[in-house]
This record gives sequence, structure tokens and C-alpha cells, in this order.
Amino acid sequence: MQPQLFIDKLISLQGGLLILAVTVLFLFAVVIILQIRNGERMRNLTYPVYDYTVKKAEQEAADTLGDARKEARSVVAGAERAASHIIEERKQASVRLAVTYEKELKEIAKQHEELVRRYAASAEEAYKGLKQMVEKYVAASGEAVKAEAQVLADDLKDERKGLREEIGKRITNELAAERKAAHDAVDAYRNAQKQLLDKKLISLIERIAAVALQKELTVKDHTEQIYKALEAAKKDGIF
Amino acid sequence: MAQELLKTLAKTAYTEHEFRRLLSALQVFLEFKLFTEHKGVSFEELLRRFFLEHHIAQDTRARLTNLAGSYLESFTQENLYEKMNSIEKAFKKLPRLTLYVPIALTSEATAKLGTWLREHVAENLVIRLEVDAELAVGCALVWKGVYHDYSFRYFVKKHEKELERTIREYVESI
Repeated sequence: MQPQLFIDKLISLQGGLLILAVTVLFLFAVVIILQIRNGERMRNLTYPVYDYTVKKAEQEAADTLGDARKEARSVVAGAERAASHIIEERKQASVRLAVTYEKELKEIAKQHEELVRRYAASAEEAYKGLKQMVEKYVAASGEAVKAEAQVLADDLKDERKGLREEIGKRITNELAAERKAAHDAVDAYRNAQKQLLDKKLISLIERIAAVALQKELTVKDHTEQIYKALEAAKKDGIF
Repeated sequence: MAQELLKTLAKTAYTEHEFRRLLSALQVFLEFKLFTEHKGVSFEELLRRFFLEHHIAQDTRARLTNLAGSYLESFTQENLYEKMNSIEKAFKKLPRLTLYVPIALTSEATAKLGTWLREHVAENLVIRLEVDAELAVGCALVWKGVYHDYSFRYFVKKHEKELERTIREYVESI
């Protein structure tokens, strides 16, 4: 065998090997991919059941919720209707009541007015009766009153006379007492004035005498008088 | 010694004023005697020289002349003021009688009154003599803090009732 051939053969062998290896690798990759895809498919095969169940549950739940909402709305609407009905009824009742009260009040006012009118009439009637009665009484008892008044006037006259006499007597006595007191006061004043005058005269004499004595007496006379004064003081027990 | 000197002074002085003037003159005389040169000079000559140099009232001169005595010799330059102070203190302790009189009295009259008062009231009595013309006659005095009036007013008051009666009788008669 020729080397070139050998080399060619070898190269062809190597190429084959390479191709083989590549092929093997390719196959291996295909197997892996297939394996992966098979796993995926397996998973895909189980998913719909699960998904279905979930979806179904969800659907049921949604249906239930929808029903519940529907029912709730229905209940609320019913309640609203009932409430409106009640409110309306109350309104109507209030209006009826107000009408009734107004009517009643009017009736009471009317009755009251009537009552007042009747009382007024009655009072006026009573007053008239009383007035007539008093007039009748006064007319009937005029003479008796006059007689009584005369008696009273006579009594008063007597009392006045007595009182006048009493007062006159008292005034006379008091005047006499006052006159006496005035006389006494005048006497006392006169005496006091007399005494005061006497004192003033003595004082005047004393001063005049003092001046005269002081001017007239000699030193010797004065000394003698001082001795006399000292003797008097000794006699009085001053020393 | 102070008491002895005061007794001597009291022989010629009766009023507080006389005492004060005499004590003052005595101090000036002793200063003259002790603090100026007068060796071998008699007391009379010393007084004469003193009266020549100092203006001293006549009555005080006479009293000072009467003071000649051995106790004046006890005064020295050292004890002069001390002794004068003790005399002043003793003088303040003497009994006082204030006598109000209507006119100014002579020295003789004062001496007579002083003698009478010392005889009848208290020994060594000092008179505080005051003139009060309002008294007219007689005197008034303060003894032991009490005022007593024995002037003309006193005698008038003593016979006030008689005077009043006499005046009334006279007034009523006119």
C-alpha cells in the first residue's frame, strides 16, 4: 500500500470516524431533546386534568358568587322597597296625625272661646245682681245709717269737748311750769351774772389796787410785806 | 474743804446769782494768784492788784475780801480746777427755794430775807430770786417743787367773801 493511499485511507478513516462521532453526538443530542420533549409532553399530558378541575372549581365558585350577589341584590332591593314603603306609611301617618291634631286644637280653642264668653256673660250678670242688691240694701238701710251716724257724731262731740277741756287744762299747767322754769332760769342767770360781776369788780379792784400799791409802796414797805407773806406761808405749814 | 468754803461763801451770799458770781470771781482770783508772779505780796495787796486788773462788781469784791483764810492756801496750780469742780458739785447739792417778789430788792433786803429763810426754812439755803411785778405785794415761792402764792391775790382771795358782800351792798345802795 502506498503511503498516499494509506494516508488517504487514513484520512478517509478518520473522516469516517469523525463523521461517526458527529453522528453519534447528533444522535445523542436528538435523544436528549426527544427525552426532554417527551418529559414535556408527559407533563402536558397531565395538565389538562388539573386545569380542568381548577377551571371547573373556579367556574363553580364564580357561579356561586354570582348567585350570591344576585341574591344579595335581590334582598337589598327588597329591603329598600320595604323601607320605602315603611317611610311612606310613616309620612302618611304623620300627615294624618297633624291633620287630626289641628282639628282637635281648633275644636279646643273653639270650646275655650265659648267657655270664656259664657263666663264673661255670667260675671257680668253676677255683677249686675250684686250692684242691684247693694243699691237695694243702701236704699233700705239709709235711715238706720243716718241714725247711727248721729249717735256717733254726738259721741264725738262729747269726746271732743272733754278732750278740749283736758288739753286746755294740760296746756295751762305746762305753761305755768314753763313760766316757773323760765323765772328760775332768769333768776339763776341773774345770780350768775351778779356773781360774775362781783368777781370782775374784785378783779378790777385787785388790779387797780395792785398798780397803786406797787407804785406807792417803798422798797422797805415791800420787804415788810414779803416778810409778812413768808410768815403766813410758815403759819400755813409750807416749810 | 468744799463744804467749809461754801459755808464761808454762804455767810455773805444768799442768792444763786450771788453764789455764781462769787465762785467765778474766786476762780479768776486764784488763777491770778497761782499763775502770775506775786512773791512776798500780802493777801490784801494781791486783792488790790487783782481788782485793778479785773472788773469785779462792788458787792462781789466785798465778799471776796471776806474770804481771806488759810484754806485759800490749799489751792495749788495742780489742784485748782479739781477743787473748783468739787465746790461746784457741792454747791449744786445745796437746798433751793425760788422766791418771786414784786420789785427788785437791794442786797441788804436780800441778805435779811436770806437770813430769815435760813433760820426758818433750811440751813445753807440758796435763794433763786425772781421779779414778778404782777404779784403787786407780798411774794410767791416754790418749795420742794410746789408753787405757793402769798401775793396781793392771796390776801384778796382770803377776804373774797367780805369783799363781795361789801361790793354788793354798795351796788345795791346806788
